[in-house]
Amino acid sequence: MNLSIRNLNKQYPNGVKALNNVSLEISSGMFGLVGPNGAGKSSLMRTIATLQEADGGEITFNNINVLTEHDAIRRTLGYLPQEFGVYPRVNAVMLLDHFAQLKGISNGKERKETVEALLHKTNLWEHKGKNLGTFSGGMKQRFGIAQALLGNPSLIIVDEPTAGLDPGERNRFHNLLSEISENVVVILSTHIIEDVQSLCNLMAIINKGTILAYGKPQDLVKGYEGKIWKKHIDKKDLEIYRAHKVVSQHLVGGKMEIVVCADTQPDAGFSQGYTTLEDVYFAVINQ
Amino acid sequence: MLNIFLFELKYRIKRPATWAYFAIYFLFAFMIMVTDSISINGGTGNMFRNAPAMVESYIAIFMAFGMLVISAVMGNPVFRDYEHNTHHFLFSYPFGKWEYLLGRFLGSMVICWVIFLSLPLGISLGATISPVFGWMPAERFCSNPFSVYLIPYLIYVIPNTLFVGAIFFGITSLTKKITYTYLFNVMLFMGYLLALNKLVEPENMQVASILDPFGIAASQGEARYWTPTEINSQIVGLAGLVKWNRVLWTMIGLVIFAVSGYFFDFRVKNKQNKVLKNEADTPTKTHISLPKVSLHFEGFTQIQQMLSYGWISFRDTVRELPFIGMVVSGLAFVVFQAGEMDEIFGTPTYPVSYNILEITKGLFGIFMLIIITYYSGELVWKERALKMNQIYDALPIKNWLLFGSKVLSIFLIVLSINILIMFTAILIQVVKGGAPVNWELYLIDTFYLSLKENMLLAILAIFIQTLVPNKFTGHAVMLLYYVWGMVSGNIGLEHPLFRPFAIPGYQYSDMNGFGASLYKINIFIACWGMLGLIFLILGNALWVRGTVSSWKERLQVFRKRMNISTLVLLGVCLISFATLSGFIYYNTNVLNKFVTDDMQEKLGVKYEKTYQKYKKMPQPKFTRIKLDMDLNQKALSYHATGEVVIQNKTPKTIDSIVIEYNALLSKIDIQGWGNVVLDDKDLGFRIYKLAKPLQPGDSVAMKYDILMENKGFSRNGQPQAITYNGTFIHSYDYFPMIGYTGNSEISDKNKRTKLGLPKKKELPNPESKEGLDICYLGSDADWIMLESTIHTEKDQIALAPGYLEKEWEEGGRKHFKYKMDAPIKNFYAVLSAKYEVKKEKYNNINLEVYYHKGHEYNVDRMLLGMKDAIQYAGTNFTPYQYRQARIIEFPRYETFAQSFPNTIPYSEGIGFIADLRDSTDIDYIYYVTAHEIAHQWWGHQITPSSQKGGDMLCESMAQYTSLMIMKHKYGADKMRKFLHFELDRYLRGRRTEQDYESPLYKCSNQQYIHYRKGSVVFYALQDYWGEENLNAALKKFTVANQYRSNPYTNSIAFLDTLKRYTPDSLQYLYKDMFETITLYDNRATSAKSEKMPDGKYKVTIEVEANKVLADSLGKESPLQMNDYVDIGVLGAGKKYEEKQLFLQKYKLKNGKNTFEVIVAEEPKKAGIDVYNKLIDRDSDDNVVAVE
Repeated sequence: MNLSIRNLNKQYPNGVKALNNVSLEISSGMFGLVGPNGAGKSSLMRTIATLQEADGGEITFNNINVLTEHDAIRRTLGYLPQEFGVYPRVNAVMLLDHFAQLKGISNGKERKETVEALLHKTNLWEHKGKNLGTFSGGMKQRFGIAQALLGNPSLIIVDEPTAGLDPGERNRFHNLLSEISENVVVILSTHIIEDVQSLCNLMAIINKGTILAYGKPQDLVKGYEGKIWKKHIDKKDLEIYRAHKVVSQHLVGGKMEIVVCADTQPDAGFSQGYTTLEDVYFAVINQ
Repeated sequence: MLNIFLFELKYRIKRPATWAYFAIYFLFAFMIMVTDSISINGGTGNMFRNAPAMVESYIAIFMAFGMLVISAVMGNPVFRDYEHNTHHFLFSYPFGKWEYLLGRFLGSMVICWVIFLSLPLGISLGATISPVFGWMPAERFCSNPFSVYLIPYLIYVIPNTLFVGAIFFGITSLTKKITYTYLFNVMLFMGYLLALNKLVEPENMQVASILDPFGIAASQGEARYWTPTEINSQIVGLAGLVKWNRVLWTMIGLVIFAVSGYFFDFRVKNKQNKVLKNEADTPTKTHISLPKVSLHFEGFTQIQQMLSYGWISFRDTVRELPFIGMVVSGLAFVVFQAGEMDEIFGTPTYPVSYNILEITKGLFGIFMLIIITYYSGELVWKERALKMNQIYDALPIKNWLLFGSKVLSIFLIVLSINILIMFTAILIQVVKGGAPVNWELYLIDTFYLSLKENMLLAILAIFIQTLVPNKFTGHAVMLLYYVWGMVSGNIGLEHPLFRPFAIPGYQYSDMNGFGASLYKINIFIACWGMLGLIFLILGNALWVRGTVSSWKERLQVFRKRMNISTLVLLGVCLISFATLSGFIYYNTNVLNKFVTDDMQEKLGVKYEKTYQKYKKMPQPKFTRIKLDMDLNQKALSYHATGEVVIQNKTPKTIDSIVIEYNALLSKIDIQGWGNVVLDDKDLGFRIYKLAKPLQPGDSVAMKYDILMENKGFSRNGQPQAITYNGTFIHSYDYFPMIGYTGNSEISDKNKRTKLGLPKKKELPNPESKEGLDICYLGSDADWIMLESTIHTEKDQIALAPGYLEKEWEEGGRKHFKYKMDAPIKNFYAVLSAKYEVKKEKYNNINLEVYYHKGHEYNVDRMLLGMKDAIQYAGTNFTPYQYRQARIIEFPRYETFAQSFPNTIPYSEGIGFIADLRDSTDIDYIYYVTAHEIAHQWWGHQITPSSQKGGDMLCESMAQYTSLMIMKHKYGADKMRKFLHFELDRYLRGRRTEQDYESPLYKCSNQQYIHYRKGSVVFYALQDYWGEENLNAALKKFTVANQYRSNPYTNSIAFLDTLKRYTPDSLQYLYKDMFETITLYDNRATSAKSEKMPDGKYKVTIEVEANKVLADSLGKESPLQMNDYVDIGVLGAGKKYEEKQLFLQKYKLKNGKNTFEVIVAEEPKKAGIDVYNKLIDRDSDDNVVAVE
């Protein structure tokens, strides 16, 4: 199981460079792709999912050329787009069965077993007869993952699956994802850093179409150990610290905390706290 | 509120859509003023193009279509906030619900008003500049005061915008779904159509006037009897029911706005109100492992996948409420209308399958178009709208599957609707009962003809939706396609190949089935089918999969998808399409002549300019015709020879003979007429120079030989004269005629002006000597001896005027020989079909009806009608001149009956299937039969000259005779309904007169006068004078004038005879009824009754009487009145069946007259001319209820 992306480029007609020489090596397990809105996450995901042509570069998955052998890659692909809908007047079993059919499970018995298993697995069994138009956000998202899992895919792409879900739903979703990622490649794009930390064994940070960091989450954190400094300040003093390399600022209990990335202590007020992946993320994208 | 209002205004003014609507309406209004290609509401001959009443009706009618704009503009403002999710902020801003709603509502309504200013502006600008640029002559325009534009604007634009706007505003505000707006559009339009349909019957006028939400029915009902003069000088305005219609619908609009405003929820609500609750924190069942499955992607799996995809999106579509609403309301409309299907004189026909199917399809047609157009868009954009496209696009399915499934879904929709229509039609037919279900027709139409036609349209719609950036653009392009279909013929592009995907229609006949039409239809279906395939291939290659953002990218993908095998397939389709369209062209233009309207006009001009000079040339006349006719039904061709004798009846030597012949003939040879010196094959005009000039009084025998062949198919429908079963060949249409007939001259007044032709030469007046020597039925014969032999199919009976001399079978064919033993007019026909025959003998006369098996319904009525008519006319006028009379059925391609000597072809469409199970309906079979038999006298015994007024002697007298026969059979009471119809049709006919209205004695080819006015006038004459007295005078006339030729009789000679026997007191009737156009305006103003001690009732009736003289364009001037008019009192009973309590003629003067009469029973109604015997412009106000 190996997905290899080399020098991938994509420019939109309006001049935006969505992917800028992107190269990544991804093997089985869960791969997290993080970046701010508009960083190129979805562009990259769509390109891997054969929904978008690239201007240059190549992508191979287990010797399949993703950019040209669309049919072949689609047969091993499970894709959950960032935002998706369902036919409102069709029920879960029917639509899942339909997708199973389109995924190539043409044997009726196998299809029935798969659909039932997936509905159980995604905890939708008791709602199987209800029209999808009545599903809540979390149920719809689980239905989405169910359809992505049809046909034993070995490459699964999930684009921001937990956006808009409440914490309980998110947990359930994570469990589901981590369970399925054992022997396949799962690419998870998100802007929630915590998700990556808890789920992924490998990650990349992307911004403005460029991969800024790549590695195991703990390695990335290790790389920044000793360089992250934090300080609580007054809001009005923020300007004073502009000279330092402030990578992020946020409020903690009403007080402002700034994070600075530096090799040495910027001033005495700064302390070296516990370095989180989020600190690293901000440090990377604000470099 | 003002802010919201102004915001809405500003927002809208800046929208290009607003100005696009304005431009479209402006353009349409403008075009009506500059070209005859677009015609609305029958603006004709004598009306100014911008006549006030026409301007008014244009605005009213455009406003019905304006509904589409109103729905778009008024449905949008609230919906917009929901669509863009701006309602979240807006509803929290500091203004109330009503401020928000009223501001938005008024803002968008004012925009509608601005948009519809385009109508008066377009019309007035068009009317001003059209003559300046010479697009139309200045005399076709009048100058209108400002009010002609302003008042209709106020009456139609303002209330319609309010009412229609309120509905759409309400619907979108409450449902927040734009689809419901479309549904309501359709339903409103249905109300309008229903109302217009009702308007056809005079009985239903009031209901229709109120029912029509747009007020058009009310306005048109009010103006239905308007003459050109009135149309040119006034508008309806708020007269009559228009006022109440406008008030009612404005009120309804306000109520709808208020109600929807009241229920409008000015809070942000969760979109899905029935969302399922998340279940409690149940852990995911991680232990479940997925079964291993085998994946297949090739072969049969792909078919399964397409079925699955096609089915699921079909299913989702048809379960949508608006879809169900649209289909159900369409079918409901059909069923509702089914009650009054296809009536003639208010009498229904048997529900034969073709009729029911045609009507059902016709009524559902508009729904079908909307459904195909709208749901093609929905299907193509469905996944993108639902945001499912990325899931589908990443699935391991072939590209063609994505596109193919869409085509499959629309196919399923079209198929299921067609099946629904079929069963609805069958249900209607079975419920009405009486006619067998023709499964062949239903199945072929449903699963082949209609299905193919709809499917081709759907493919076009899907293809267009695939190309365009959003579905609204797609709908707009489809709308353009429909408009193209309507106008392309008018702008000179008449060839059917200019109308892609249009399949020629067909007319099914019980006698002839589909006839030859299926062949042509099959070719067109194949041809457009190939184009459809091309569109499918291209559409598939252009289908967007994934996020393709630009056309450049789409074309890259397109090139990639057009691989070798696709290209080969495309090539094959292109070649087939080219071949088939070439084949169509070969049929319509090479095998047959393709004559465009333009060419036809030019031919007409040439005909008149080049050949009219031969009209005066002395010509011989036929005296004997011996016809031999070989019908070849299988090839739809025939070969005929005529051995004819012609005689020079003029005092001059004739050295050349002019003949006119049908230009469609493949061959026409004439032996013995000398050399052809001129032959115009386009017009069928030929001149022979006789080898030996024909001296006065001399006769000579000659022989013609003609061949009529059917070659492939022409632009027009199938051949209708000769058919597989049901041939009807008229002597006028296919046999050569002598002399310049004038038949190819152009008659339309405005067309003549446009082509630079002088005013058309009319028939001579009956006062002149000119034309007295020429027969009403044509100049090429007076009386002829006819003999005919006809060869036909083995299982058919062939007929022609004359007595059967011989009938034999030879060479697998049947042969019939007919011979007349007395001279007849040169007016005959040849018929042939598989007939059942019913015979009866009456006074040694053979009465026969030749009918199609299954059409037995009214055969006995026909026999009775023949018998009664022969008896009545034979007793009252002169004896019947033949030993036989035959009614012969022919296919419904034409709907008339026609009287040849002892031979009456009678269309399948009028009478054979009339349903008289309800005995109160008018028995028009009996009436038509009696009318045609009466022509054996009025036409075949009494033949008038070729002068104005000849129609009165033939047609009005046939009407009179049949009315009397009906009166004796059904009673005078029953005639009232019929006469009311006749009066109504006469008065409406005046409106559509192309040239000018003539008095009855000078009418010339004006059906509304010679039939309709003739009926009313002669009925009144016998009522005033007495039937016996009138008949006695008629007998004198017929005895003196039967069978006469040069000089022929005419309307003046006829009236002179009548007048001679009419008492002095009634002489004024001739002037009023025959010699001028005189109309009464009689009305009852009040009627009171008083019960007297002896139990009787004293009724005091107050009436107002008036009489006017109208000129030929309907301009009226008052007349002094000193006339006899009925004063009557009616008792209980439903309309037309009230008991007559009192009826007497009084001599009335203009103005108010009061009467006191005593009646024995309780009076219900009373008034003046209660039975509408006189020509009265408003026949509904003659009677009032008695107080």
